[in-house]
Amino acid sequence: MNHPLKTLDLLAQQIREMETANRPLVESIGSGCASMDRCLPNRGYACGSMIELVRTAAGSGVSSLAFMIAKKAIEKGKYLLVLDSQKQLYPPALQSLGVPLERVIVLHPGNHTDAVWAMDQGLRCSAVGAVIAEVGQLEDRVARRLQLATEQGGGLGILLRDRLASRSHPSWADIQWLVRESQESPALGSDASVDSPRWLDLMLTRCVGGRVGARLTIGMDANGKWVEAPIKSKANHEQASTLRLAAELAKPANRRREVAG
Amino acid sequence: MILYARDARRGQIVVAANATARGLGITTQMPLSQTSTLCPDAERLEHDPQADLEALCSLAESAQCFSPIVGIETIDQQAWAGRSLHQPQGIFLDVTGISPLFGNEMLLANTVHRWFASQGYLAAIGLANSMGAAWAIANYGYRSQIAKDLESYERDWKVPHSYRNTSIVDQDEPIGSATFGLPVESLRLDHATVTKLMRLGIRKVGQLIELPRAGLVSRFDANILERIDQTVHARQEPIQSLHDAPSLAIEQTLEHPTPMRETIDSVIQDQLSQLMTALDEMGHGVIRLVCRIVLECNSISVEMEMKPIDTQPSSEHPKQDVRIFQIGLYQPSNDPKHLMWLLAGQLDANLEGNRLKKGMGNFWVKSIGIQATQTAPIVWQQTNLFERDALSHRDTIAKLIDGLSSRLGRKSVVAPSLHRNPQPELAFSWRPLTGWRKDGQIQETKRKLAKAPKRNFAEEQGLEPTANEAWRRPTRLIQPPQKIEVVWDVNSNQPTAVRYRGDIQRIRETSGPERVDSGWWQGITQQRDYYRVKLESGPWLWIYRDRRNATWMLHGEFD
Repeated sequence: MNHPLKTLDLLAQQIREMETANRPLVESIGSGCASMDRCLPNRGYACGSMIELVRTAAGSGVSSLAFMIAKKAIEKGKYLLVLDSQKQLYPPALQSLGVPLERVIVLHPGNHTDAVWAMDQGLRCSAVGAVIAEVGQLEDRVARRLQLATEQGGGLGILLRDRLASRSHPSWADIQWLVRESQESPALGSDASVDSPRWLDLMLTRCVGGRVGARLTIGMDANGKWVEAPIKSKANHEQASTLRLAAELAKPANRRREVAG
Repeated sequence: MILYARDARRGQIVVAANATARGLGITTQMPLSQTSTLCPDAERLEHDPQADLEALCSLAESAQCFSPIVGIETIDQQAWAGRSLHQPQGIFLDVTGISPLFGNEMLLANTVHRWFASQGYLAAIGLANSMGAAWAIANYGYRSQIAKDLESYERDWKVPHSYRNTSIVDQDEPIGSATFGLPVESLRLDHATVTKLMRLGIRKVGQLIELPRAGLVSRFDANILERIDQTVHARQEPIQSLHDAPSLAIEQTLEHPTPMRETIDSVIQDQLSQLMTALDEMGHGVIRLVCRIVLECNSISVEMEMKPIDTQPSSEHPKQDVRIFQIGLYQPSNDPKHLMWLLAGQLDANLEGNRLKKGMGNFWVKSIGIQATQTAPIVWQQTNLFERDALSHRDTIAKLIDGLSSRLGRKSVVAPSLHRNPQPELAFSWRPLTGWRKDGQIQETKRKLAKAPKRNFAEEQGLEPTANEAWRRPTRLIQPPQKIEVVWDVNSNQPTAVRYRGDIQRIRETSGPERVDSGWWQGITQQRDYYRVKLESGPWLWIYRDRRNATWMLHGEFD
């Protein structure tokens, strides 16, 4: 009789192979944050994958999160491409987050066609480590084209979306995080000084080849480094997941939809 | 309208002004602040030397219809006296032996003048048997007449049809006699030399010639003799021609004009492969490539549509229009696929889908030609062992930047550069990654994709908070700042609620204020108190209170 944990691992492996059948296992880039890596298959973001960050409200820290993830992807001399149609990007903030500005290229596309073309070209290029773009609605064939381009180029495509846009359209991304500002700061005994880290609640809503539903609270401090939430909230995390499992058993249809993306 | 440029020593100075502004007394080299008293409602624009260089280079390319050897004037390290801008402003054409084709030299000058007028430029032309003399005559020969022509051009947009200013150096007269009456600036000397000469009372070239040459060398720069020789004694100097040899050009005329994009693409592809084979044998790669598409008015369709405007019968010579596309590369390349991709980007921008853009009307493509106007030997470099990754990434990214710039436009592919300025919106600027060198000779993507900056340890170890820490500056800056309603609590001296996106939202936490005062030399002083507020619904905003008029503005979002 096989050990149940081993069976679980085997089954997880089989599911992963089925879901990523067209793509062989590639190396993955860690996000630099241990708790985020634990939620992801392969302990990191696979090279050539698309990540979506969905914001629940404007100004909820989604761009900063994108830059922190991209920071790791552009080590080893690769470049970061940012598509900034509204021309609102503020580079001094990027510098304080620790992004090396000499490897940042910013594009100001004039219209949607140009933006899609530029994203396609950028993702295809092997010297580009990550592309960050704000997208509203992407048609299916455009999203598929971008996915193929990302696989070819081997970089990360990070798309930022609003919650309304992501609800109405299915997602083509490999990993999708729902991002929300944390209401209570989990660090014990911290006062509201300027230098206290910024806490975000993330929920994994789509994960190809892995498990959906992980929640984590992560912080970004004044030096542009990740801050792990203290142990107290980890217990919360496990509690939340068992509750979730019970809820999912009660509604099997819901769960199937989430796993299949 | 006034164009200004930033001078390192003097601040913002005027470099050009249109006729109305000149009438009000504005001259070049005047500080910009003075113009506000003379002409308060003028439109002030920053001078863009790159756009000038691009226009000049494309004009020079088109001017190949007169002579195969066309060059842009080369400028020295120091600016020449009499010129307000330190950049090439003229075109040299080698017309040896070409004048019989146009009749005589007068007719050649007239044709050239009319051609420039058709392109929308008023040209000052000098024809001589040395480059220096031609330059001198063109720039200083008939200044008053040209100034009058320029005024009438600006007023009425009309160019005088025939070229009335003629001074062609005859072959039997002593060479250079026509230049004796010209001022000293026509010798292309720098400011210091010309000032000295003026102080000595030497204003004309004729006076300078009479001085002993040995004395000139000891008192002035060494190149003054060279300049005198070039202008007066017809010493030859080479023209930095824009392209090497005309043999690297292929042109194909189609038998019937076509509007289809696939035909154009396949023709260009064939021509590129042919050109690349020729370049391979030389061991060279292309740095600049020009694609010239001649469009012809398709008179057949005109007749069928019965438009009253175009009533040309098809037997007459149909109207022609020429479009020129140029691409420039960071490194010499003879890969036809890469060049096709760059050209396709430009064609995409100008041609819609498979057919020509509607704006072109009934014009179909009649002939397509490509020419490698600048080539360089392909160098096989041994890469550094440890930097291999970084170097190969730089090459690849340069190719990507070339492609993106050619489709999105030069100003849309930028890299950030930071400045030390307390005013947040002035603390950064975008610099385009492709550009032309200042003398207009070679176009190359900026080779110095910036290297990593040296670490400033003194700044890093400070104990006080600095503006460089995270969460002091927002990732999104809203320019211009928007007005926002803020509810201020007098007891705690902090804002308690804001109206954001329509509804009043309470503020959970505030940090600040951070006081920012800008310097008086940057215009109107900005006095602001910045607060970073966290709303209950989640967003973090960056708002400020303008102390001069006590208004609250929203300046950024910490997205």
